[in-house]
Amino acid sequence: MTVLRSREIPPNISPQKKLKKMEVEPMTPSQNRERSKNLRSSSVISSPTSLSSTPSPTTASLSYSLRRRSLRLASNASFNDLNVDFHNFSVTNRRKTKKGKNRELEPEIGTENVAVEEIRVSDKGVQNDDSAAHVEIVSEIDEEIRVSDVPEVKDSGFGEINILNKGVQNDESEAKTLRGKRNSDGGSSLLDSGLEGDQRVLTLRSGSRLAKRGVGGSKTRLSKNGKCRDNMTNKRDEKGKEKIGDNKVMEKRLEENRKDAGNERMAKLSDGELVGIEAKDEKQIEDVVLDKAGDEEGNWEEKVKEEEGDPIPKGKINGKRRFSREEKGKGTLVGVNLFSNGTDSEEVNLKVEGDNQMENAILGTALMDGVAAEDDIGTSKKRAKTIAEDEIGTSKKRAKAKYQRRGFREQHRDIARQNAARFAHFPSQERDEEIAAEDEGAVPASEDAQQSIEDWPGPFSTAMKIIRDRERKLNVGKESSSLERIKHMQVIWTPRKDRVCERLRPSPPSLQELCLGILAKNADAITSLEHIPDVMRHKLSHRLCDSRRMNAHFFDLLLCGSPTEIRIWDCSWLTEEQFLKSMVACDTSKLTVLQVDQSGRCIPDYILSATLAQSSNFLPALTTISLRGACRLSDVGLNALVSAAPALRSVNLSQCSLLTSDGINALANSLGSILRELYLDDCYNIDVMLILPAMKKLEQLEVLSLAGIQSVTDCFLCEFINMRGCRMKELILNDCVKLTDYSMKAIGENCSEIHALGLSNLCKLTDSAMGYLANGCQAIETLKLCRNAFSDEAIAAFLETSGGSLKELSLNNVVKVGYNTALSLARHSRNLLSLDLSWCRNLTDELLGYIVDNCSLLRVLKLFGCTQVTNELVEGHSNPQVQIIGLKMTPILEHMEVPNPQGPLQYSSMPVL
Amino acid sequence: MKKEDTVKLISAEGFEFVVDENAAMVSQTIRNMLTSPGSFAETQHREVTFPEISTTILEKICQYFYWSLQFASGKETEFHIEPELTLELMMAANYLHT
Repeated sequence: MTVLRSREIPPNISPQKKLKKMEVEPMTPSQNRERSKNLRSSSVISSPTSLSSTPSPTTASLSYSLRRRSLRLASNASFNDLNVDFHNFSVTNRRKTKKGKNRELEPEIGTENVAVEEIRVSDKGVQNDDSAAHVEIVSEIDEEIRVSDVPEVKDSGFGEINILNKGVQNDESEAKTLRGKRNSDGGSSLLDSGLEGDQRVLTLRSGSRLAKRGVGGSKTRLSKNGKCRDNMTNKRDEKGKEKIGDNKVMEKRLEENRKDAGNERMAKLSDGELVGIEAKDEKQIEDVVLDKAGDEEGNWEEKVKEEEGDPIPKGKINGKRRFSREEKGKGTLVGVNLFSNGTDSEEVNLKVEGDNQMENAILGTALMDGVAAEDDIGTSKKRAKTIAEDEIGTSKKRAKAKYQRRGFREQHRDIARQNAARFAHFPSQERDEEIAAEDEGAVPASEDAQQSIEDWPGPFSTAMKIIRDRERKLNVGKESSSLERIKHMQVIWTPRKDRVCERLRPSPPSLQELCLGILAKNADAITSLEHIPDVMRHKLSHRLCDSRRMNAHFFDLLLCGSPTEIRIWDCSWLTEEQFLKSMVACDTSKLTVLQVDQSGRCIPDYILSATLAQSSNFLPALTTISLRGACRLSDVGLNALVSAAPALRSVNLSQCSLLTSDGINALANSLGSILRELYLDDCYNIDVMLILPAMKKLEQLEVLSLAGIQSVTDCFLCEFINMRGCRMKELILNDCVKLTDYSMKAIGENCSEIHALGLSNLCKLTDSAMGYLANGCQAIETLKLCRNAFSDEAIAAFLETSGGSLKELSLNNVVKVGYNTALSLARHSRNLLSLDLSWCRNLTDELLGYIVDNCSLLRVLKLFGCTQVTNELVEGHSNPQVQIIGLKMTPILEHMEVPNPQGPLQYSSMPVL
Repeated sequence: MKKEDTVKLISAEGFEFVVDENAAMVSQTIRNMLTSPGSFAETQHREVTFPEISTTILEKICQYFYWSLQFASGKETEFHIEPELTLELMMAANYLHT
């Protein structure tokens, strides 16, 4: 039977419909609705084509049930049109697509109202509309929906729609839209088939065929709804199914309903659905479609019933339609329950979907999450039958609709979730977040400043592009884990198998080391350190401090004569009295370097005043002083010290926690013109903004360490760097967590001579920071990163642009480091002496071996926490002098760094006094 | 031992220690002297004089050279140093960059 035949739409309608796809369904009384529908339909039109990747159903004949399904599917299809995900969603909903004809069905849905649904259900796989829900319904119906003559269906679908619509609204536009939809919707062949011509026969999956009945009203309705391609088709199918006058009363009712006021609404809905779907988030559309479909269906069912049995209360249908149109007018397909019986404004939005939902509702709550669609269909059909066009049925439908709505909402939400990523814009978000994070003291980071560093011309952006391209090539069609990338590229490093024996042979200890060891053991036996160069004294004293054998005897040895350099790394054994006694007896006239670290016990203010600062100019030649850990030193003592050592050029006041900005201001005032190195690690009582003016006076500052001072902000740093950055050679900003990319920009712009940078734990830095540094700091030799959030590509690009001079690099816990960084390290950082790749778990043996073998100067490779590294690396690399520290097999304490200062100042030669 | 394989190290007192070339090369300083492309006089004569290193120290250094070669070839023993020599030995070793 060709129920769809009933939709004998006057030929003129069809073409009009096609043309007017963009128009709102003709039946909508309200202009806005129509407009919205048009919009929707147009959008829908486009979408269905995209969506209807499914093969158009071949069989145009659909059983009534099929048609109903198709209606649902159509409603779903409308979703699908708009939302591919929804399509998928619908696929999931499809419970038992009987024959895998879902695909077919989907396109057909557009044509066949009912059949469309069913078809769509089967076609859900193709169309990502709510037809999925329909699909289930279809399956429930257990009908085979074979859409024959799909193309015909399309045409006929429109025709049917036209017919349907005619009856109801005589709105050609609607019919046209319907048709148009169909045409546009390649996939909705089902619908077409279902809708077109009286000759169409929708073959439901169950084998029953829905003859298209020439129910004028319903058909017109359908035609009107041509807007939404899928939805419309669904609706149409539904309508068509109804018209087919199959055994399924529902279909008829649907059709009739559609024909009636529902025409408009359907058209609206379909249009709206389609439009909405396309226009809005797919999720919305889906929701709308679903909802609408449900609503529509409900309405239509009622109407169908009415048609069959009783006169369809046009009012109701129309009313519903009107609502749907209104909803469509809103053009926002939100997860509105289409099942609301056209009384909710929401329905309007979901019109397109609502159509389907209407169908669904009519068919039952099968659309509910695509659960037991078949059952729903059946029940819905039954219900449709039972539901009179009076309110009882309506209320029931409402209930159903609500139930379905809920389910659809969730479905829609899921679909929205799936599609949300499309609408997210991350890069600028990140930067905006960074900007927003700067609160006090934050330089107002203009939005321009936050443009992607990669957009700017420069070596960094070039490098990034190269790296990204390389990644893209490697990752075509593949996952982007570094491990997989390695698999796909040629083998870059193979471990050597014959080096095991060589590696086990340790190199002989140097004579110096042997001597030092003996001396350290017998330090008490040393009578004099005369003629021993300072370097050896320092080594010896360091050894002694480490082994806790340092004592007053050696201290005196160090101080006897006229020492030039005294470096004691640990004075915690020293008492105040001893210090006083020794220092008083010391000739400090030639002392240039005095390092008494960890002297909190022995150097309070009064001792300092009595020893080092006993008179003004007591330390005339003192260039370098280090009072690390002098925790009892206050501003007063510092002032006294500064007055006693007018030639100071390097001051280390780390962990002198009593110091405040007053002391630093005094220091800067008296030493401003000559101070070259200033270490203020962990002096947390210092508010750097208060010392900013004094800092700006330090004209020759080369080394600045503000590690751990929390008051360091972008504002302070940018101002300081802008003024004094050109001479900076070392900048330690570890743990100054408030810093953002803006500071890095300032550093990059001003500190072209910088040799060492410490950026540990600066978690707000992004890849842009790497870009600024790469473009601006080409001479960098030491870079300490720890727990930064840089990406693999950014670090690799940095290494390619500025990594050639790197000697020491720490990427400790920069966990995104991987393939690209390894390549860049091996190719561009050939001067590396020390490399810390602890906790970088994306680096495999191959990558590390590649690095080790290519960085021939590498001495130390730290791999703490790299549990992915195996013996293959340790034994298979070809670098004879590298020491790999941190793996299970190697001891770790032997490789603690021993500072080896070469002179009073790190970067400058000692000034001749 | 051929002359070409040996190097003569002369202490402050004038004592001459003839050592193997490989042994002498343990000292980075001597290695540079002997192998540098520059025109060190030592390169031709294969004689190096150390006016600031005493004989006992130089002797100990030569012993260290051979011990170091032994160590590198697998025979790991202990190199004993008299404590009174240690300070001077350390300075000499620093100079010779060994």
